[in-house]
Amino acid sequence: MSADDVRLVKRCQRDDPEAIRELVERYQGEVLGLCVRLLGDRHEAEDVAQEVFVRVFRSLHRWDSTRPLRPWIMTIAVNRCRTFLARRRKRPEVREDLGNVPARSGGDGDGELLREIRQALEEVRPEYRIAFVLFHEQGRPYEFIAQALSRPVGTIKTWMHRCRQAVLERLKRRGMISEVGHELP
Amino acid sequence: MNCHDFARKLETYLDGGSELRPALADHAGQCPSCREQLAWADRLLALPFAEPVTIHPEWTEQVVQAVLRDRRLRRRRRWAMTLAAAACLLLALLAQPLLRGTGQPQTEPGPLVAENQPSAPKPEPPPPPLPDLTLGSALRFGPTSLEATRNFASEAARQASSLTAAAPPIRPAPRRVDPVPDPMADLGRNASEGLEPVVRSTRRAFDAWLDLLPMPTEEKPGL
Ligand SMILES: [Zn+2]
Repeated sequence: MSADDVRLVKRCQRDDPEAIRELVERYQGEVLGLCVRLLGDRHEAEDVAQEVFVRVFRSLHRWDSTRPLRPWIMTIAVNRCRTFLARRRKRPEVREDLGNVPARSGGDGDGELLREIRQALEEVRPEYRIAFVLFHEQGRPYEFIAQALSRPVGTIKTWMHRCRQAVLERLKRRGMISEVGHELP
Repeated sequence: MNCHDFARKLETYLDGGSELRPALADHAGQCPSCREQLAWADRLLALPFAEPVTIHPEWTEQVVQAVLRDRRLRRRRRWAMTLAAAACLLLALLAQPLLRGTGQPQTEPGPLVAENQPSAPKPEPPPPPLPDLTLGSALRFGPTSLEATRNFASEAARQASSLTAAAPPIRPAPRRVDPVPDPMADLGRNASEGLEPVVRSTRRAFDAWLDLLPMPTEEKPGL
């Protein structure tokens, strides 16, 4: 817990606009970054990140000031993205095929692999995708992911295993990995 | 290490067990299919996922404005609902004698009537049990207070409906409002005290309801 965060939150609860701006600026990079990684679309990520901040300020009175603020905010962000992904999954017809989007890293092997992985993640359950992105792309520990998704660490590891399997299957189908390889356990 | 052990340890390696890398490489050196698996795992771990996200100041401003707007809206909604709840309760209190009066023998006026309307003439002599007892009972409250209450209630309802017009239908409040004791027993003294917990409960219930609400209508729909 940071005493600075506690002071800032108290000012926010008094509706101090400068404090609200300060809190947004302090966490916007991480929140928007997570939303971009999880949703894969900048415009959707900006909309969801804005909603995350509105909800953070609505719930500030429930934040336990003896605990750090950052994971609490990131948990709200993870949950908003999860809800959004679940809704988006129900209407896949409006999704642009990410497999046709050029890789950001250019035409090198990494760019192609990243594009294939992101396309594979579009096809798995939102929980698998979130676990994968938080772990591999955001470098979050399993304990954080388990807390954010309200599941035991063991469950998160199982989801991660299944997600990697799904990604690997796609890469094999696309000829990016040899078919002769063993399955992951 | 056999291929089965390799596959199991590869998962641990992907979970951050980098100390397993030499043992995995050892087996992969003799087994072409496992070499492929290790190469894939190495690539996954080395992928340049974490590109920094650029943030435009206009977006920050938009977020701050959305937060401020949401807080203003919630304050107004809470105020309007409190007002409406208080008006409804007041109406209910004042309507009670009208309902009681129907078909029952006339009783002495309650203390509130005596205190609030000291100059109001008592019906003299006591009216016989007529079919329009309801009207007679209403008159004992005085046309002024009844009219003021009606105006107050309709104004509160108008404000509440305009402020919450865009909101989805209200779900049942998670808390039930505390039962109000018979107000006619000691109406004058208990009226203000009785209102307070009900208004507080309503406010709490309304706060809980607000937490379930979607984003304000000014924001983009569909979230
Ligand atoms: Zn092998």
